[in-house]
Amino acid sequence: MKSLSRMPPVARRAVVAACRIFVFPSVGFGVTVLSAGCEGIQGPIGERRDGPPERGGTLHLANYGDVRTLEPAVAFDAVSIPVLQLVFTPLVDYDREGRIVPLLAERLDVSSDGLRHTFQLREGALFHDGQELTADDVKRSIERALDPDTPCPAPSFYASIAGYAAFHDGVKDAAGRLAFAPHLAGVVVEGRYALRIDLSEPDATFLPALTLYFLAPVCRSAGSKYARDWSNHACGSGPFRIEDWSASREITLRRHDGYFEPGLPYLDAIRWSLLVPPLSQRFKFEKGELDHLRQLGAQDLRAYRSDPRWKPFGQWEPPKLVEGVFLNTQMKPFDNVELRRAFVAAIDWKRVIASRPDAMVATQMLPPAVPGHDPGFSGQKHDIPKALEHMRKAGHAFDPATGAGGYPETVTFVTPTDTAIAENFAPILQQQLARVGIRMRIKQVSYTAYLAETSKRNHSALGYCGWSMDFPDPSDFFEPTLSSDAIQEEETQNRAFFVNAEFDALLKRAHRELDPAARSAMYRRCEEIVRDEAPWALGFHQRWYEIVQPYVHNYAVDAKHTEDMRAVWIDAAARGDGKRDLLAAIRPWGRR
Amino acid sequence: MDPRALRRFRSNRGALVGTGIVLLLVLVAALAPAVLGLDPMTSDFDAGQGAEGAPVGPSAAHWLGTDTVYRDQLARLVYGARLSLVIGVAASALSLLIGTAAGVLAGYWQGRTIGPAALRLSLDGIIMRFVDIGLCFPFLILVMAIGAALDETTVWTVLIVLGSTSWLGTARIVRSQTMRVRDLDYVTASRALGEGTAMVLVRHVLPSVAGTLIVLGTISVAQLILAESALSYLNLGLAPPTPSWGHMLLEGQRDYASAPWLLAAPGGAILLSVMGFNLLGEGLRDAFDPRESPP
Amino acid sequence: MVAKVARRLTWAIVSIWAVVTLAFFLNHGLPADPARAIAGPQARPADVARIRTQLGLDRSVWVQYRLFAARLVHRAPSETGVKGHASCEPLGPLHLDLGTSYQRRRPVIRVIADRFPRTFYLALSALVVQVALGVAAGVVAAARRHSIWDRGAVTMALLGISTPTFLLGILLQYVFAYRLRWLPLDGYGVTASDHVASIVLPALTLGIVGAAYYTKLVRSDMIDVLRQDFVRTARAKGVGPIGVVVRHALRNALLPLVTVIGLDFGVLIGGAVVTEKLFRWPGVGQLSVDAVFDRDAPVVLGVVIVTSSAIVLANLLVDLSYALLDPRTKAAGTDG
Repeated sequence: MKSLSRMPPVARRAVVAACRIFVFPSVGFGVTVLSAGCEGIQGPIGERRDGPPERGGTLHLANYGDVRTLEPAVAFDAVSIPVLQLVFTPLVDYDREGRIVPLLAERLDVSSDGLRHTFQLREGALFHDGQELTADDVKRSIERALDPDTPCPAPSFYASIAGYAAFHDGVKDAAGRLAFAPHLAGVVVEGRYALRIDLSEPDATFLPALTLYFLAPVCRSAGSKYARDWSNHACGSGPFRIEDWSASREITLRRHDGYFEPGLPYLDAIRWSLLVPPLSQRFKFEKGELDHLRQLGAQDLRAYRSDPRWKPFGQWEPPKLVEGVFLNTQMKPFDNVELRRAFVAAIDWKRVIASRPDAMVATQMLPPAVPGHDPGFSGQKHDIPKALEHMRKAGHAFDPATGAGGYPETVTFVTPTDTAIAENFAPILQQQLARVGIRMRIKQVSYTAYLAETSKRNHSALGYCGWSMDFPDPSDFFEPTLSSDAIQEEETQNRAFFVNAEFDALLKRAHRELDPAARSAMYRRCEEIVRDEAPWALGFHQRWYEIVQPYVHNYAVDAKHTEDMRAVWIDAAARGDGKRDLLAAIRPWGRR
Repeated sequence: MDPRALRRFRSNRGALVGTGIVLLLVLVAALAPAVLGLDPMTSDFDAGQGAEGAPVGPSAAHWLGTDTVYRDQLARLVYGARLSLVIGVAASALSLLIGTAAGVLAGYWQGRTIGPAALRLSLDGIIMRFVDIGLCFPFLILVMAIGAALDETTVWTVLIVLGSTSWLGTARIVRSQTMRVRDLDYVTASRALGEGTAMVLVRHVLPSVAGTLIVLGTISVAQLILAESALSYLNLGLAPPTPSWGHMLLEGQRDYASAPWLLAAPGGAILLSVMGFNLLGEGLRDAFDPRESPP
Repeated sequence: MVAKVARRLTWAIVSIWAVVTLAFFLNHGLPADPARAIAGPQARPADVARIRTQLGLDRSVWVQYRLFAARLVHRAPSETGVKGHASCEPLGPLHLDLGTSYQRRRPVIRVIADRFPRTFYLALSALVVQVALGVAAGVVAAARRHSIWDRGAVTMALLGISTPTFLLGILLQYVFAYRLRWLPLDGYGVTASDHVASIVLPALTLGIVGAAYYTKLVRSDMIDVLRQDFVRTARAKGVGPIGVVVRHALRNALLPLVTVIGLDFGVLIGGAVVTEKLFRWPGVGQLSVDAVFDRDAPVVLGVVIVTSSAIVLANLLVDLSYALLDPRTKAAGTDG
C-alpha cells in the first residue's frame, strides 16, 4: 500500500474506486462459479452383458433439428430420413456390407441387358393399417411420387424408367400443348405379388436410387396423388408405425406387429425428441434420458473420445461427405492449370482441420462410405517445393524468403458464414497460400447467397464446395459436380465449370456399365483426372461419432443408413428400468 | 472548460476511473501491437496447439492462450481494441454530425413552413416525422438488412451503417435545445440587431449545445462499441479473420467449457471499455450539469 | 380529445406504412435468389426456374410492390373458397395477407402467429424482472442514499448498462446451465414446465440489462420527489419512513416510469434479436435473423410490420394513457 499512498490523490481515488467497482464483484463471481458443479463428462450407465436379444422397451432419441415432413416422396433431409427408414421400406436396400439386397421384394431378377427388373414381392407383408401390400400398391406409390405435380426433389434419379418423359415431363401434341401420359409405362403389374420395371437404357444407378425412400410403398390412404396433409398420418410398411407426432416436439413410433422380417423389431417403441440443442442432449444422455448421442460439439467429442470408459460404446459412422475448395477453371486466375496445381500443393489439410476432431483428410472425391473409395489411392498432396515449382511454371514465380513475386492480385474465397469453413478453415488456408505467393481474401456470405453466387458462370473464382451422399454410388459424386452436362449459366453444381472430354466420356460410360469391376476402374480414372486437373482442392470428409449407452445392443452403422434403429434391442435390467420406474414413482421430480 | 466543472470532474471518482480506462484503451490500441510485436493472424501449430487439436490456455508463449485456430488471443484482443475504438469513435462522430445538423435545422426553423401554404409543410415537421418513423423501425433488422445487402463488410461500411442509423435520438435532443436557445431573450435581441443566421448558429446555438454533444458523444461511443460487438456477434460485422471482440466471443462461446479464457478475454475487454466510456460520459454530464450529480 | 386520438391514429398508420415501404425496397435490394433458397442446395436447375416464375420473382419491382400493397389488406372475397386467399387471415370484413414464406411454405401470418406468443412471453417475463429489480434497487438506493446499498445499486446499474446482453447471457448459461445444471441451456422445451424453466435465463439476461436503466431512472426520480414539499409535509405529519417512500414518493416517481415501460414493451415485442439467438428461443427475433439470412422476403416484411406496429402501438397507448393520467398534458399542445 506504500506505493498507493505515494500516488497523487486523484490517481489514488481512481485506484480505490476501481477496486470497489471491479475487483470485489469479480472475485465473488469467480468463487461462485468455480465452487459449483462438476465439469467432466459422466460415465456410462449400466454395463454391456452378452445374451440373446430381448424384446420390449422404449428407446429414447433426440435431434437438434425438426422434422418438417414424413412424406417419403418429398422428404430429403437429414432429420427426417432416420424416421423414414423405420416407417417405410424400399423394394431393395443395402445390407451392412454395402450390397444391394431385396427387402420388400423377396426376389429380384435383372435381365442380362440390365433393362428388365422383375420383383417378386413378399406375400403377407402388411401396411400399418393392416392391408396387405401388393404390386398394385407399389405401382401406385411410384406413380404418385413421380407425378409432375408432386414436389419430389429428385425425380430425375428415376429418369431411366421407360415412359418417364411422357409421364413426368409431358409430350407436346400437334397443337403444342403439353400432354401427360396417365401411367408410367415402364412399371408393369404382372400379378398380385409380381412387378416389372423396364428401363429405357442400362442404368447402374437405378438400383442404388431405388434404395431411397422416394418410391417406397405407401398405404392406400395416401391415394394416387400427392396431398400435403397426408404426411401428418403417414403410413407405410416399415418395422415401426407412427403413433404420435406432435409438431416440433416429439415423435413416438410404435412396433408394427405385421412387419414382414421375422422377429423384428425388438423394441416396443421409439421416442424421438425434436429441437433438443446438442449440449442439452449430452446432459440428458448422461442422466440416461437419452440412449444414443450423435450431435456432439467439438469439445464434447474430444472428451468422449479420450475417455476410456466410453471407448467401447462409441464408433465413427462411415463418412458420407466430401468438402474442399473449388477453383473456377474458366475464370482468371485459375483457368491456368499450373496455378491450380500450385494451390492444391500449397495446402496442408492436416493443419487446416486440426481443430476439428470430426473431420478426416480427403485424398479423393469419394468418401469412405461410397463404393469405389480406395484407401490406397495416391491423391492430391501437400508439397511446398512442388507448389513453388508450379507457381514458376504458371509464370508467377514466388520467393518465400523475400516475399517477392507470386500472383499479383488478391483472389476472393467465397464461403457461407457461421460455419466451420469460415471460422476455422479459411483463416488457415489463407495463411498457407500466402507461403507460395497466393494472396487470398475471405468473403463470407449467407448460405443462400453463397449458393447463388458460386453457381453463376464467371462469378466466383474460388470458394468452398462440398457434396453429401444422396445414395452410395460414385456417379452421385461426380456427375452433378464436375461433368460438363451439369454446367448452366446459373444454378450449376459444377462450380468449377470443369470441362474435360475424357472425364465426361468416362462418366457416361460408367453410368451404363453394369460390370462392377469395369465400372470402378472408370471411376478410378476419374479420380486421377480430378487429382491432376485440380478443379477442386479436395479437403476433408466430415463424419459423425456415435455413442450409445452400454445397455443398447445391436446398434451398427453402415454406409447407407443413418441412426439405424431397426434391429436395436435394450437390456432392460442393465438399464435399471425397474429401479428407474420405482424412483420415478416415489420422486416425481425425476432423478436429479 | 469551466474551472468549476473541471473541479467537479476531478472530484468525481467514477469519472476518473472512466478517464483512466479510456486512456489505457487508447494507449493499448496505439502502442501495444508494435511494442509487444504481436501477430493476430498467424496460427501457431507448435506452442499454440494442445492435445487432440484443442487450443492452449495462458502460457509463456501465449499470455492469454490461443483461440480455436491457434492464433494468439492477446494479439487479437489488442488489435480488436483498435477496431472497436476506431469504429466507436468515428461512427459516433458521424452520428453526432448528422444528428446535430438535423436537430439544428429542425429546431432553428421550427414553425416556419416551406412550399405551398396549403400543404402546411415545414422542415421541422419533415425531419421530425422522419425521426419518428426511423425510431419505429427495428434497429437490428435495419442494420442486419443493410449488412446482408453489402457485398463486403469493411471498417468503413460498419462505421457508416452504425453512424447513419444511430443519430435519431441526438437529433431530438439537439432540436429541443436549439429551440430553447433560439427563443432566449439575448439571442432574439441579437437577431433583431441584424446578426445573420450563420452567426447566430455559430455564436449562440452551437456553443450552448456543445456540452450536451460532448456528453452524448462519449456515451454514444460506449453504445456503438456495444453495437459493433453485437453485430460481429451476429456475424454481420467485419469478416474473419479480422479480429473483433464480438466475433471472438462468438468463437469462444463454442468452446467455453474447455477454454473459458476465450470467453473471458473479449468479454472483459468489451465490458471494461464500454464501462470506461459510460463512466467518462456520466462524469462529464455531472460536471457540465451539476443538478444531477450527488452533492 | 377525439380529434387528438384520430390524429394520432392516422399518424400511427402512416408511420407503419412508411416503415413497411422502406422495408420492402430495402429487402428487394438484397442480393441472392430466394428461389434457390427454397429449392435447396442440391436441387436441379429446372426446378429452381419453375419456382422463380411461380413466386412472381421475374416481374419488376414496382409490379411486385403494387401486388404486395394490394394484397396486404384487402376486402374479403364475395364468395368463399376463392383461390389466392390461402395465406389470408380474416379480420372482420378485411383480410390481412402477408404472403407465404419462401422457406417454410406456410402463410407468414401463421408463422408469426406461432412465434408471437413465445416472444410475448419472453417480453413479459423480461419486463417483470426488469421492473421488479429496477424499482427495488432504485427505491432502496434513493431511500438510503450514500449507504452501501446505494453504492451497490449504482455500481450494478453501471455494470448492467455496460454489459452486452450476449455476454451476460453466456455467463448465465455457463454458471446456471453448464456448471450448476439447474436450468436448461437454451431452447424452448417441450412441456409446460420446460417452458417455465427455459424462460428463466433469457428473461434474466434481458431483465438485468433493462433493470440497470430503471434503477438509474427510479433513483433519480425518487431523489427529486423525496426533496419535494409534500413529502416533507407527510413526514412532518408523522408518516413513517416506509410509508413516505411507498405511499408518497414511489407513486409520484412511477408516473414517468410507466412511459418507459410501455415503450420498452413495444421494443421487446419486436423480438430481442441477440438474446433469442443466443438462447435459441424460437420467437420473432430469431425468426427475423433467420429470415434475413435466408432471404425470406415475405417473412422479413411480416416481422417488420409486426414489430413496427408493436412499437407504434405502444407509443400510441403511452401517449393516450399519459393524456388520461396526467391532467396537465390535456391543455398542452401536440408537440412531444
